[in-house]
Amino acid sequence: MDLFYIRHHYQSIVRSTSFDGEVFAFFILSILFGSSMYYTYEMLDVYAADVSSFFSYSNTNFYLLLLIYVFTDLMIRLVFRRPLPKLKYYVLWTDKSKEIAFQYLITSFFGIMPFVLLLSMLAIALKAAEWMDGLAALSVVVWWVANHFLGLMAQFSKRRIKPIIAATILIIFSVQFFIPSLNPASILMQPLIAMLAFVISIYSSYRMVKSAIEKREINDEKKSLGLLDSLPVLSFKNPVFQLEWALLVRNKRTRSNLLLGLVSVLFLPFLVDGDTEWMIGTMIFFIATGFFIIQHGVYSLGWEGSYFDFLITNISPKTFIKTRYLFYVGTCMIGLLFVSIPTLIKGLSWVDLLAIFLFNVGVTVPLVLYRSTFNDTKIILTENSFMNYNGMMTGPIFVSSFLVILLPLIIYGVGQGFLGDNAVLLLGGLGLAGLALFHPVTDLIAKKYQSRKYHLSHSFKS
Amino acid sequence: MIKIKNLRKSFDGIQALDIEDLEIHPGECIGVVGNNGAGKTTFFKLVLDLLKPDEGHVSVEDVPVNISADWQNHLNAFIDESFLIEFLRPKEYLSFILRMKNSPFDVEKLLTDFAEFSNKDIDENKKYIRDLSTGTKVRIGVLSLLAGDPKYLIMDEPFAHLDPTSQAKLRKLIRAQKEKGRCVIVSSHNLQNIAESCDRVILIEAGRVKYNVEVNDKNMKKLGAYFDN
Repeated sequence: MDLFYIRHHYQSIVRSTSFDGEVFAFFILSILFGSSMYYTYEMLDVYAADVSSFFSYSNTNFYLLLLIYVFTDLMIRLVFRRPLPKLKYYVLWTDKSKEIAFQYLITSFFGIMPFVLLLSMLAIALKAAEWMDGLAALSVVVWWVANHFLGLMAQFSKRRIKPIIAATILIIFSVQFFIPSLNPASILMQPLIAMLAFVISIYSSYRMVKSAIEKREINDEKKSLGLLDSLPVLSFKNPVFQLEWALLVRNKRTRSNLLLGLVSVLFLPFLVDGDTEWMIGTMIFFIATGFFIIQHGVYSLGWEGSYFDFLITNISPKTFIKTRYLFYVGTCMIGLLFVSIPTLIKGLSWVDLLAIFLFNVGVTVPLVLYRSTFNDTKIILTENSFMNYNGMMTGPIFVSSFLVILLPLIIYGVGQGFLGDNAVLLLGGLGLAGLALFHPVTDLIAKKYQSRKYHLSHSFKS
Repeated sequence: MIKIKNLRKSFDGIQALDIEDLEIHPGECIGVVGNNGAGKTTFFKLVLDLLKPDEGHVSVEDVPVNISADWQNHLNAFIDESFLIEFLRPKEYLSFILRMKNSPFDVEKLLTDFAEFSNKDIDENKKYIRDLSTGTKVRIGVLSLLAGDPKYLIMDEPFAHLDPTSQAKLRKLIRAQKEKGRCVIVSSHNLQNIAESCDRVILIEAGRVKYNVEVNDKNMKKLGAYFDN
């Protein structure tokens, strides 16, 4: 058999500019997810017991929680469309629909996230292996693999009726076997049911992919970017601000980053109270007021990769850098506004909050902008950001981004040595100094940008 | 005046461009021709300071392009799609450039020009530039060059993706720029387009200027013979 699709898929991954980043992300995420699942097993068990008591099942174990997780995952896969694979080229080149479908199913499973989730499930199964829950957890792992293929069916089905019916029947039929109180014989049935789901899902998705290929129903990625598409570009006085706003709201990648940042702003400050460790408190205020710098700023210029030549031949480096600086200051102010609410409600320290905000606008923003002149991978704006490391994870960039995030903690920690509890004032003072030096600092960054532009222009093309 | 002095650029030890001395004056229409890989785009990129020369320099209105960004007030360029901002609508893109160039706000005039240029309403579907055809993108790119009253316009192979009618209109547009006293530097693989829109033609071969001649029947035949061989 000619494994042309798998071979090409492998080449496209290995030759991708973000390959090293993806490998790095894979290992980090595998370790994080796997170990956290392994070590929080007891916690999950207690939580599952709470869920069980809520449903009045006295002897239901933690795998009910896993099951809820797997069902939720299935629902998400059925409801949300993701970009279709780039199959149409193969369809044009060859009529071997069976081979394409078969090889596609294999490669589709070798993404990062499936592996990471699989590993986390296996970690739970391993932890629970001493008793029957281990078997149940392994069954859930198998079922989760079936989820992947059911989700695939949904991607290839126009109205998603068949996969939804299949999933519903499967759930209604099998859920009873995962709740021992409902069916005492279920322990033995669980792996059988999971295997059945696995086989049926693979066979059905194979049929559906093959049929889609034969009927030439491989569509392009959905072009519409959703509701925000219709937002008019705000009439900022400065046209570069206008451009920043359009970049942010009209591209899938930047928009999902923004939404992730906003979630952290809304959620994180509520974790702080009067008893919170200084390190955690500082970090939370730092992330909450500087959410946008962390989400967007550290990859600055990578966002502009697709029109970088336009940028450097039409906008002077100083104008661009100063505008972007002020834009980030604006986002920090929005963060400050959000964080003010929990600060007010929970009676947190305003001095801490303002000092860290000042540090962000006076130190973090220029640092991030300076560092961004080394971002030499173009970020593809129209692709989704979830588990997408294009332009984001090349080794040195990742490490230096991390250092930027750790900087306030280091300064605070050092400052505690001679300022004690007032160390936060050191952060505020540095921030004020940074703001006072706005013009020389931005000129310095613009100079760096000017000297790096040749390399960047060349890199963004490759 | 665009002045090029001892300009040299090589990639991986291979000489990509080597121009001793070249002057380009406002009011001239210059066609740049040459085979693939001859160095036309490298030449444009060096003029636009998108590449760092190994030696020599380019100056626009006596200001070296790598020293100051003032040349951006005098020169507009459209090389490829990286000169378009694909998530803007055409009208927004043109309006953005006009505002960047501190040009009087005449987007509507540009859109009328576009409608004449391409026989269709640029904004009819309110599409983003990324959703438009390559030909339409080129038209928008070419039209954006007119923003801000520049002295020099650079276009890299603008005829390549245009239909014959649009090519004729582009030739007319280039000649109209010359009448306004502007300088147009345009590259093309089609000698006919160069002959009908330019008054001087530069042939680049292996990075060097082989011919720098006026456009007339004799010289065009000579160039035709060069490419035939």
